[in-house]
Amino acid sequence: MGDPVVSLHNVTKTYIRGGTEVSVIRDLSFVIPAGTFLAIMGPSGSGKSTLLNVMAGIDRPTSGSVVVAGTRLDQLSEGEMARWRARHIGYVFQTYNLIPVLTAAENVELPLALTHLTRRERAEHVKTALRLVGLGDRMDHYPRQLSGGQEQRVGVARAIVSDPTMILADEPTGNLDRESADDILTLLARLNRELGKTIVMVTHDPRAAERAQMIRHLEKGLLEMPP
Amino acid sequence: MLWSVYSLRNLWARRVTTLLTLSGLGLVVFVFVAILMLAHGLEQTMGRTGDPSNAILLSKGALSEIESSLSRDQTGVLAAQPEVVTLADHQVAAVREIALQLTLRKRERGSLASLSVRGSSPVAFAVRPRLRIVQGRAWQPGTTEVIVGSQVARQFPEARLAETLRFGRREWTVVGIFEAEGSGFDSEVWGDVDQMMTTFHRTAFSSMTLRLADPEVLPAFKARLERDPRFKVSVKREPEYYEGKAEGLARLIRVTGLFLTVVFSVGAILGATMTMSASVAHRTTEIGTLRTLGFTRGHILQAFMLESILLSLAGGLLGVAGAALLNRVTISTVNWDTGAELAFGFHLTPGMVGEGLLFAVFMGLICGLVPAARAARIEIVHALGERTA
Ligand SMILES: Nc1ncnc2c1ncn2[C@@H]1O[C@H](COP(=O)(O)OP(=O)(O)O)[C@@H](O)[C@H]1O
Ligand SMILES: [Mg+2]
Repeated sequence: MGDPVVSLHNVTKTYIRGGTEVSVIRDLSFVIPAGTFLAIMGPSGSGKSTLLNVMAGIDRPTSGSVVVAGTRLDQLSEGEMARWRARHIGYVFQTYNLIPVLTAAENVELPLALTHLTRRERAEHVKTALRLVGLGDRMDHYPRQLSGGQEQRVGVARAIVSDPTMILADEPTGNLDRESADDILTLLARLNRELGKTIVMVTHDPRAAERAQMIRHLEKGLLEMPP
Repeated sequence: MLWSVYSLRNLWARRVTTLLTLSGLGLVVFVFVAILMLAHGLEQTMGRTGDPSNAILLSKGALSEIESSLSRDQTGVLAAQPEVVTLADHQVAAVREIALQLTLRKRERGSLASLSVRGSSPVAFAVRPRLRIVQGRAWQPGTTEVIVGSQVARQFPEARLAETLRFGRREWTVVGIFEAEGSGFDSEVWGDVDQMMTTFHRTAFSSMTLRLADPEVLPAFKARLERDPRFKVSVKREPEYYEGKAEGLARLIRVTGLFLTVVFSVGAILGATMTMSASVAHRTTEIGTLRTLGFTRGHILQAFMLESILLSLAGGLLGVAGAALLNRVTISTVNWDTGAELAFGFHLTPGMVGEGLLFAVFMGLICGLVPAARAARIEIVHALGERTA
């Protein structure tokens, strides 16, 4: 285990709902060392997604400092944050969120549109990523021509194609049957083990969480240490 | 590259809506270009009528030949001006004419049509050298023979060689068909001036057209004659006279056309804006996804603007293609200024294609702006929450 990739300090996130302040994350501090495969568990509404989104740089904490991949996220501008995300974060969505009008290969290519790679280099990266997730033969399929499990594998390929510092996954198996879910979890574990990717996965499924190296429970905005 | 693929595929994915929207935009561009073509065609036709070396003389205050009246004595003196060309046979290049606006019942369907008739004399061919007889021959002076312009021949089935036209309670035999380079003369019937004056009980001419040896002297010539109290004439350069005659019609076409374009474009722009807004609403999650991947607000704005512009450009191409079908179509309309039936063509130029497409892009910018700005303003977390919440 290396230096921390994520380090949160006194992070708080509150929403104003119906005139009263609702605190979703309360004074949270923790670090995630590089190369970790961490599962964050907790009941629905406990703030798992909010926490993940803060680490992904798509949401901002109300207070506290968030350092990810060596950058103080809470101090970045919108545009800087977008460029930072493109460089450091691979995000896997519960609902896959593939672009329906683009093929598997084009979906995977999307993050590379933000890099300076040549067309040929991009094609190489896309092919490598899709082969890695076992979909080398489905490059030209549109999302609607794929099963849910395959769609999510394209989602994983899209998350790793630009070789980001970290992969964040929000309930990546939430919409999948057992078998497809296992495939995805195996894939994530492999990415962690073979490529040394830091992975943070939010889930409320204990069987999914078991596949991670480390499990943290989020209960009412507080992260509980494992026993 | 991937970005335009993305935009095009999204348009294709909603192809029914896309087609409806772009037809609306296409219609606007079609009307816009058609108006340009029409106004241009009219200008071309009228600008081609007459010769810059010629001066047309009308009675003072008359706006057109129909209202004008010049006595035989007057024209005699007026023709004897030193600036006027003397022809090989010692005749002066001056043609005294009467112009008539007749209503004719077309033989075929019995519908009424307006016809411009000119009583002239053979010297007219020397005054207007660009005029060519393409079939048959010129009329014999002192007879009821006539020649018809190419547009008249096209519109009246009875205006054929050896056929007869009936007007002024007489039969007029068509002995020739002439062409005047697409000018307004092509919409006229010409015959012997004395025969026509007798038939229509005229004692005065409508106009006299003089060919000047040097077109440069016209302003001085004009000034001298118009100031001379003996004559009471107005002098105009021939092409300017004809352009002036079409001015009202050209303005009417432009104003009506512009009005139609504006009315249609308001509808089409609203339609396209609604289409683009629906597209943004429908793709909120997608926008959140793209932003998560690292695309900026600027990228999102670009993507939707591009989509809107591509949509309008496709509509523009459709509209221009439709307008291109009108190219070389000749229409005939009544010139409100003179009551004469006038034929002129739609003529598409590369400039108009450019203007039409530019107008389409402009509409695309307007339609895309509000929806694209809204798309760019969406917060990622809200956009992603849309589906899962
Ligand atoms: N934009 C928001 N406005 C108000 N409340 C919100 C907003 N986003 C999330 N919440 C609330 O924050 C809490 C945590 O949400 P979330 O992080 O999505 O939980 P989880 O992913 O663990 O189910 C929930 O009670 C949710 O209703
Ligand atoms: Mg959640």
